Amino acid sequence: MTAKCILVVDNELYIQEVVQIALETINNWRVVTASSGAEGLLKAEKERPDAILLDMMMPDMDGATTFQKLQANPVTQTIPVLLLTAKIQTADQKRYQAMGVHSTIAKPFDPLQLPTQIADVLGWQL
Amino acid sequence: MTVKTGFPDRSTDVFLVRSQKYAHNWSSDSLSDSIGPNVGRPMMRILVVEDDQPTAETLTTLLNQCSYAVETVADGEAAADLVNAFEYDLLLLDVMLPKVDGITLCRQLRNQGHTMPILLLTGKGDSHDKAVGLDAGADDYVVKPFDLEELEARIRALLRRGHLHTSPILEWGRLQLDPSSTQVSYHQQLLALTPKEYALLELLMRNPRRVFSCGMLLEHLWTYEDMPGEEAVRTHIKGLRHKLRDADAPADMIETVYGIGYRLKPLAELEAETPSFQQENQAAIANIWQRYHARIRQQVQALEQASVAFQTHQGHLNADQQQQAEQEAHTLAGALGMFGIHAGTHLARQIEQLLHQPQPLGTEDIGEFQHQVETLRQTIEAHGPVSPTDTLDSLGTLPSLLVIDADQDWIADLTDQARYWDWTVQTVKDLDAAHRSLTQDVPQVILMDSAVADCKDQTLAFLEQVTHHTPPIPVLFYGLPEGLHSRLEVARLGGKAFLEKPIAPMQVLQEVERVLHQSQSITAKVMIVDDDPSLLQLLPPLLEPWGFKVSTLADSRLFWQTLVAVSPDLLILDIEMPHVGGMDLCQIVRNDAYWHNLPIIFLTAHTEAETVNQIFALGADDFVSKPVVGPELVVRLVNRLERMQLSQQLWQVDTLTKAYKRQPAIARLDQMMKRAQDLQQPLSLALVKVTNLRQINAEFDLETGDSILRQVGYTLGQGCGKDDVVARWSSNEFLMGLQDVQSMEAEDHVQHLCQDCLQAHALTHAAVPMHLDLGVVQYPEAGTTLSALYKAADCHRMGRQVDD
Repeated sequence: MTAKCILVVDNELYIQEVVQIALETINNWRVVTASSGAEGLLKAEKERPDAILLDMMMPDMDGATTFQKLQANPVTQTIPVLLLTAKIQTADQKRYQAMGVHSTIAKPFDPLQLPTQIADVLGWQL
Repeated sequence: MTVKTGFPDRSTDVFLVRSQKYAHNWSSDSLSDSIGPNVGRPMMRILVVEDDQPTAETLTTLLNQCSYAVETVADGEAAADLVNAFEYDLLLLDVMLPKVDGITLCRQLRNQGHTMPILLLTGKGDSHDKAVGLDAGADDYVVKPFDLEELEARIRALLRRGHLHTSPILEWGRLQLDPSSTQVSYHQQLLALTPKEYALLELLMRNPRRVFSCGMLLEHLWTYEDMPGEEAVRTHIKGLRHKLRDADAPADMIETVYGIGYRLKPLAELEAETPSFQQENQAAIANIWQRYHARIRQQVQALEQASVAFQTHQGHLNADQQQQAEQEAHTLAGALGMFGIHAGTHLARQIEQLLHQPQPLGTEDIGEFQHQVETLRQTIEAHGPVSPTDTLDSLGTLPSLLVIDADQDWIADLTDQARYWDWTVQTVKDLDAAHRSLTQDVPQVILMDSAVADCKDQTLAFLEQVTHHTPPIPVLFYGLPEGLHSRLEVARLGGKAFLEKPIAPMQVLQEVERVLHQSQSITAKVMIVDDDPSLLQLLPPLLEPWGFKVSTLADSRLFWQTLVAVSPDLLILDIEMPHVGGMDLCQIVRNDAYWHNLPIIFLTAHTEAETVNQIFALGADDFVSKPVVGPELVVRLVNRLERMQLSQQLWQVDTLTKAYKRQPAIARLDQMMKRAQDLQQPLSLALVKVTNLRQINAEFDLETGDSILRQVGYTLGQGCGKDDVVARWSSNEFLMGLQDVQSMEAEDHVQHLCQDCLQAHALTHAAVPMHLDLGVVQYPEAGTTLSALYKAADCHRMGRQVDD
């Protein structure tokens, strides 16, 4: 089994780091980080990750816009996107589904559980 | 008396030779060391029985290349002896041999119950011969001239089969070892093992339920010619554990069986455990929290500013401020829970909702907002920045090493290596930084490049600081030979060792380990008297791994001669024995003028108060109830010996000068003379006399005299090597024994020490004149008895006043 590559797009550095530690040390996945929507788009195209964790609320380009652009690009449109979001009300959930994201992971997450959560929603075997 | 104090005995020399040899092994290992296929072949012990010299040599070369430990022997009889004495993993056996032929030997060994695989080598290749060989108990048969590659593969196959493993891949939980590719992985992650670590793991995995003592591991993994000390095994175990931990395996996958040795942790226990990586991850996350604490405070400050703005602008925020505050509250809500601050997440979420409400906020909401921001700040502060020491504590404290060196490359190498030794390394560039560092953290060992000091005085001042530390911190020097070259000088400075550059970090760490080990270990002779043969069998393997040398005696009638022959440091007695009981023996010992101080521990099934009182009344030091619980007995023994050591010191050492009292010194000096004679080494005796002590006492006061004696005793003691002795011989005389030093050199050295005394004296008691005389003689040239030597030294001393 080759190690999975995950792209994390979040403007907060410490969240990037926690995700990175959780995924790299627990599951040996490779983690690529981006601090803005724009950087996320570039890295998604370049790295072709197996999945993208996308923060919803970011300055400049928010998660929703980033997601739309990912979808518009034939290179990145097939990559499953998981929204990493602290907005977890039902209304929000519905809106995300309507947008076509694969699923959402609520913030704050338990770092030790995060890899399992991701693998579960994507149907990956650990 | 063989209890080791911080000052090691002579056995260290042997040890050093061993550890250097071992260092050599290791470093050649590490050259070829890397992940997977490049790892050397499994280190298994093979005995080659072959009388044809060229064939034997070819085989040895081939097998050595495959990293097997190989021994060769040329006849069947010698082979039988070796096999009966030592354990081999495989025999390569020639059929045509002198004395006993291969087929016969094979049959013999099988009849004796030896089960190791046997591969027959022969020039006779017909089917009948093969059948005879196999029927004799051989496992395989190779016809000469043989193909080396085939032979190697057959050996591998036999080693697999020999341990009754059907699958060539060994597994233990998530740990996998593939002998054919020599790859080891944990949970699909490859481990980069050195050949020795690999061999160690293979042995454990092939015998998963067996406990291996250090000695057994040594026998399996090394040949007799280059067998290192047991600490080498511990080092490799440490390295292996570290690599397992790096691969997220539980570090105690290789379990220490208290007092016995090592084994693989039983699978059931492994599965029941929470993986240790959880702890490591928590530590890593705590580390992120610490590093970003400032950023998080900044985010809270943004909320505090919003709170102030709400109050000053009647519930209004400008758009920028509103957006920023909401962003920060949102991030905090999403993040604090990750760090385990769930209350913080809850508060931040409420703050976010309040910010989302249409403005202006009502007075009540403003108050609520202010309150929540304040609570959030307190919650975060209560969680605090996690200090690095907290994180370390959660992982267990590691031994620490302070390195004083300016060579960054070398330090990087050392730090890298130290990781595998479970040392934490702190490095500083100079002595000033070292002084500062010592006020914060106290390392267990200091390693110092002798070149970092600008002058000798600086080194001395530093050593002064560390040797006065309680407990004193051992210092190891390394540097160019011309810096501090004399062993005496290093010892004089209080250094524990001096290593000459160039030196590999690995070698240095071994030395560090040795020094630390020395300052902790106890080696003592224990004599056990008990009529129960099973107990006498059980106790030695239990106690020996702890450094005890155990002698047993079943027949108490032979007590006295055994006691004298063994000369134990501690006695363990059974109460009830035929002929003479333990209580009687105890009484005999206590009444003897020479032995009355010997510590005695009773082993007894009788733990009722009456018996216990009785044995203590007879002078027992302790008792341990039967059935014996190993760890308890070990702890009791160690405690007893440590206390004894302490009282011995009190009894032997002059409280004023910290030098030996005369009586115990006589015993030591007698030993030194005997030793010098046995080893044909020189031994020097130096007599140092404060000639005007009487005048000082008369003209000034006794306290001044005492302080001078204290100064002299201390300086001489500091200048003494680990095998040397300083004694207060009479009120104003000190006698020093300097082992393995010619009198010329000794005189020079002690003269310097005396000058140091005078200098120190001039600083503290400028008004008091002090005169020191010095006489040095050599044993046996100047005399063969202590009194003769003393007289000669006294003669030699006359008029040899030391001037500052």
